[in-house]
Amino acid sequence: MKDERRSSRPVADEMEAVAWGYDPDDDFISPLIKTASFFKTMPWEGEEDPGRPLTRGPREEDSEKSG
Amino acid sequence: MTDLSRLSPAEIDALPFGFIGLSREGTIRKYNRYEADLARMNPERVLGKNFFREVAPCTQVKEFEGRFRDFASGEIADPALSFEFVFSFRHGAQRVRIGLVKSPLPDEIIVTVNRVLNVDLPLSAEIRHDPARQLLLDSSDQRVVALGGDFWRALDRGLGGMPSQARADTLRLAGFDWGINHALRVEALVQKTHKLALRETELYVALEYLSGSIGVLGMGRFELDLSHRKRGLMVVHHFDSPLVTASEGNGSCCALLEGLHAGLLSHLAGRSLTAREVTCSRNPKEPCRFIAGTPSRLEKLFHPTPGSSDADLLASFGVTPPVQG
Repeated sequence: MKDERRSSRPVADEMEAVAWGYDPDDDFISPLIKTASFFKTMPWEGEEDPGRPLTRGPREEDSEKSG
Repeated sequence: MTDLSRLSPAEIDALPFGFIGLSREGTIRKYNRYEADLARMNPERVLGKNFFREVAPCTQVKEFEGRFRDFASGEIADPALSFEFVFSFRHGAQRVRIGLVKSPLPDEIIVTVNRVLNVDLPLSAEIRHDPARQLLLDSSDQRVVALGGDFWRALDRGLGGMPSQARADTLRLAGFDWGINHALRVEALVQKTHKLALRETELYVALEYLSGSIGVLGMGRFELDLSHRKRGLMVVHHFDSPLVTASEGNGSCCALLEGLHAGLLSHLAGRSLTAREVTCSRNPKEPCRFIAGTPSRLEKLFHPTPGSSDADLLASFGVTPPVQG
């Protein structure tokens, strides 16, 4: 439940380092999220969709390298 | 238009703008997650407090609280009121557009908060004409060439003899190179102006920079739909693409935009991405839509297992994947 996740988040003043990053388990995208934080943890090969046939194959090497 | 007064708590939390429900006295009854993140406040801690006195004291001015009180008392008779305001958060100032709406609930006013992004760049200034040399220059003195519909139609016809796949690949490659280099140029301007790399800026600001910068070139504008991000996919909505009409309405030049968006997003993501058009706008009011992701992810997406969520997603865009034999 979204509300449960939110209430488990640390209080604002103490969560500078974590709260404005990207939580891939969370549906919400902070208006303040940094570009690099968002893309760094994006599940590029896609997450599994429970109960549905999957189309994903072997996971691509998860690197930050471009090109 | 969404009726803000009838949303559930979960729907209020999911809104892409700040939403605060205040009593006429300013007591906070609702405080959504966007606003909590923007203000870096814990919503559980602010409920029941007075917005003007205990949560956002910078709003105790006639420009905000004064308008709110006039609106709440009915002195301002309009059903809604909108104005710009600058919040003085501890973590920095934030320009916002405030909306005040009367809630059907007794004694409640809904306050909406939309960020006003400061994305002024030299690039976004007007293009100027040098009549002596007959040049068009942007304000970073980069030459700009205006290419009308005749050029795009000529390009379309010039590529017409190529096999369709080779033609699309050529345009995609050119677009990708354009996108990467365009993003680098925007990056240089952002660094010069704000001392930040694009990847260090907020995601929505970076996207606004890039969308605005291609808009200056007359390419329309784009928005990025991130609702499929858990599946490794993003959807680009490109509005007012000149290529749809320029290529005699058949969208055959849109592979250039596929490459452009792949290049722009690759720069932001720091990895090589690709994009495929899923709907080409024939109606000027409808955007062209592109799905972007890694090459391997898109390969899987466009060859889905029947009945899979990928097949559903493609179907939602009206795309029929090739039959797997």
